[in-house]
Amino acid sequence: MTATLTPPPRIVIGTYALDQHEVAALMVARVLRDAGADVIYLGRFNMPEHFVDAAIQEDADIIGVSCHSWEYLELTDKLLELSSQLDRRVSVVLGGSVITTSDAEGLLERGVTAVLGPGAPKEEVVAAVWKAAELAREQSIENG
Amino acid sequence: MSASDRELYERLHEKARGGYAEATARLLSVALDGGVKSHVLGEVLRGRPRTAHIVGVTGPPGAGKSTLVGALAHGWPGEGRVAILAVDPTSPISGGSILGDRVRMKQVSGDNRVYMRSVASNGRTDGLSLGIERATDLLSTLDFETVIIETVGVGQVEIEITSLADTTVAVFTPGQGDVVQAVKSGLNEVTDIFVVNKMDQGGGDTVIRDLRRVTRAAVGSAEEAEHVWQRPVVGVTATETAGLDKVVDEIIGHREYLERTGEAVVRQTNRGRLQLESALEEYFREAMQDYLLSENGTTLAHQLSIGKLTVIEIAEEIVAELIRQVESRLLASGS
Amino acid sequence: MALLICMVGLRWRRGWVRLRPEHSAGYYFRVDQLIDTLLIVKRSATVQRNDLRFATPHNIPHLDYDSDLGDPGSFPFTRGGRGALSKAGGWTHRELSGEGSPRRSNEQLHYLLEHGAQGLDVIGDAATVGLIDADHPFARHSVGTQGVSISRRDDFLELYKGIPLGQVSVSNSMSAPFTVAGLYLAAKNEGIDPKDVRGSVINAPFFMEDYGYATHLPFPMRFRMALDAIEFATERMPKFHPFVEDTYFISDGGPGMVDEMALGFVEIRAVVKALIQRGMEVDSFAPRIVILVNCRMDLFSEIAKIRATRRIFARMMKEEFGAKDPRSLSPHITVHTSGASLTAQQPINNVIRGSLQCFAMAVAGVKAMEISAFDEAFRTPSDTAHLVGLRTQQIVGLETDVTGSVDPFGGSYFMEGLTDDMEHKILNRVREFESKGDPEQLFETGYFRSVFHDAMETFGREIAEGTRPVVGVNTLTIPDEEDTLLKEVSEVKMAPDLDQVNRIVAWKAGRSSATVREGLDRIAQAVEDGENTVPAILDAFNKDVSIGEVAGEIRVALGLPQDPLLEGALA
Repeated sequence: MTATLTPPPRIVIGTYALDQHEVAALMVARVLRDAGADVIYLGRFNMPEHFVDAAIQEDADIIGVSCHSWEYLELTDKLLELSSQLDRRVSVVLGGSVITTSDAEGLLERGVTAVLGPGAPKEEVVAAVWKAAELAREQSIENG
Repeated sequence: MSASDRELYERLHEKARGGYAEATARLLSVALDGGVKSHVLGEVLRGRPRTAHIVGVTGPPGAGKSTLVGALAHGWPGEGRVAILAVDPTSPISGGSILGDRVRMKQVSGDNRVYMRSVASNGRTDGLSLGIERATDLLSTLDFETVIIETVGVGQVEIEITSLADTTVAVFTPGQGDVVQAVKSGLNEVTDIFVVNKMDQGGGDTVIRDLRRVTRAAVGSAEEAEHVWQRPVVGVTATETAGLDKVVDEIIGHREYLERTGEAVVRQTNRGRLQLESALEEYFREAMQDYLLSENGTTLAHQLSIGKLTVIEIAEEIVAELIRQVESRLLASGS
Repeated sequence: MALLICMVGLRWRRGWVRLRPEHSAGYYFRVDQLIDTLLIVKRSATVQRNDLRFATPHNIPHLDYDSDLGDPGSFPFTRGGRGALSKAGGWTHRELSGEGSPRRSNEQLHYLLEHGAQGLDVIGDAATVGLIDADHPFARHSVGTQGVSISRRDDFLELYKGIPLGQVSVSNSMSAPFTVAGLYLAAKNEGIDPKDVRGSVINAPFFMEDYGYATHLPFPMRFRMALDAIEFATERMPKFHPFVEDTYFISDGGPGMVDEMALGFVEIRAVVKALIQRGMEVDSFAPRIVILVNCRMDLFSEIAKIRATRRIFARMMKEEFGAKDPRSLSPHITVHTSGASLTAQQPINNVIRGSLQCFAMAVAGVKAMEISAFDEAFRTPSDTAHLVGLRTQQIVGLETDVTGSVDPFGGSYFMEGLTDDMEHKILNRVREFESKGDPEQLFETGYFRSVFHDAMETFGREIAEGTRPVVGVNTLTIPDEEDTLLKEVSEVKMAPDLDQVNRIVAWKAGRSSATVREGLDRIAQAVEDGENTVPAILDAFNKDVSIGEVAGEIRVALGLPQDPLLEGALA
């Protein structure tokens, strides 16, 4: 399908701060691995600077946050701000049960690349991640 | 293309040497991904001094390698910078991977002295990853005092790392089967430092004693002892700071030993040999696969399958052809 | 409850990915959806369900009434725990609460009591449960959003201000040793003798870390402090239940009924053995053991699970642990209905699910009940959702005749066969877990974690593939734009309570550092000397030490980093 990106997407995945519901993050990590992506798994207890720090060192295309508490409302702006300061472009993708439709719209307006609902089928998750990686690489090239 | 790449890599190398992690990350991607761009990078690296001490950390799954490596890097003494390459397995089916070592190295986040990179094994089965020789070579030019390479750790013994590293550290836990047996069956000669991790779980003292028994080198005179490395066995609990300093001391001690005895050059040459071997393998593998799928290759394969030709007859023909092809490839990419 | 993890896999059919904000058109009901439904119902046979079309005496060939069932309230308590007859049909109606500051939660508790709640159930926010103060950089962004924020003694005093702790039973979902200390001081502050304090606290040292409430204390210390809380309360707060085996969290973390109870029993057995080893008489603490179970949608099996659990517990206590007091043989079983069975789609449907679960649990004869609220998928319950949960219980309890007969399914071929089956499966699984090694090793190697994760993944897959039908999720869905009923009230969010953060910051700045140091030294000494930690916590609380500081001092005393979150020393 979309699995033509070379090299395949590199995505950093974890949960925010004290949001400890990790299973969805792991499930998505497996789905993406099985689609051919390299997933750098961060686990729990990450603040925005941890995500960005990992994305820098790992030369990642995407930061993915699995959200199951409202911390995403408080922390995502900081994440976007920090990731926008890099030389290369990093796409931010959020997913999770607590993100309502109207939140999703607001997040996209503020610069989040994609928002995945908890019920997003595998194919849609994979497609969104590949698309986000492509976007990140195109814009990185533009930036030199 | 190659000229502008070269300029870009020169610029990134300059930044990376100054400790700019994003530049290091970009260059590492180039080294690990391979292909023509990595050849350009190779030219950028030509003539630069290789100063880093390369430490390999290996051991069975569950030995706590990642936690240990993270703690060692974070607690490394002095001002020198430390880089970590942590290899995790790639799914042979999808080619994708889940690289989980950062979960156990949280303390390196925000530590400007430490650069940590997760690396997918990418089809390699010796505990290392495709391109890791190039990545190591790159890092050794970037003013890192120490580069720690953590192997996948799927089997008991992953020996290939010993050709890449100056110092090889093998990690075990007290509860993991017959450690001594594993050491006897190959790891003994090639390991420089043994670490028994998770000492808090109990039973560690016995393992340490047994290991000391089998790893002790026979030494004659005191003069001879100068030139023999007595492989130390260190007990640690990587979640606590106890014992970690001792491991660092031993690694630094081993580095001094290598320099004192001239063994350092031997190890460095080994690393070059491994890099060469991997590069040649890469060239020949590609050429071989292309050839076998070509019209000629298919014809030959068919003739073998019906018994018309013998394997040796065909192999000789193919090898001669491959050498011609590899020669022309090398010439093309070198220009 | 705050375990929103449960919503993984829900909204499957309407799963959405948006690279641009846009709505897709949909139909309310379509023929292909109907066909879908039929296919799903057919496929659902692959999910393990009790698939007995009808039962006969062959399902219970060896059942002996006196030894296997007994009258309600009699050994082996299959048909109902002690007092089942005298309190026929009654159970304590309570609802989960706790949000924002202690003061705000206190108002919520009073509100619930005024509306007929007979018990209270207070949950701490993620930081509180994890022994992290409100002013911690990791906590600020979620203070009070999914439970009440408690960082110190005065927070406990404020939370329970004016609550008749001697009459109302308060169930606490927070760290046991700290809650016991906090309640003890709150009671004194209210002029109530701690000996009269009722209520309970969850105390599940084996699994908390793995199902999302990490305290960052090492396993042996968590276990020791769990025992400390039980020992202290048994002596000083004899009406309190300091050991709630919380299998709800286990189950809503993924595992099905058999593993839910088997893991619960693994922990109960380890705690009981350890308490006996400490020199406590089994009859001194066993009567206060509570098991807080989950109830999903397989209602008959859930009833059988509870009947089997009572029987297993009774026999185990009597035969294996030699309990003599009849009160030791009958556990208090309470229930929290499953959050994982509720959906983000069409929240009104959750009211229906809650009613059915409430009915089943009334039949099962539980002692107390909380209904997961219809807004579960989005938040801890709003006032509206609270009231609906409470009314659900009141309608079932008052308007129906469910309460007229104890264990109405007792003797049914089907129910007794199912109960036997459940008992055997649970016991086999307990043996299997126990044969795998000691619990500390299983925890350290991530075995428990993998059990939870695998189960959650299976659950998610069943919903994704449609083998487990969930109305509004993988069948009979409606378009998002038509899914509006109760949606607005469900999606209202709470901002983190920054005032509470500021209060804690100001309070910390105004303390005497010498006094705080004394309190901390007392903690360190208790850890090193191996004495009971609860009196030391009481002392530290009175010396203005916060919960987070106590936990930090414990880590330091054990040679660990004081703050693993900031020092990044997490595994």
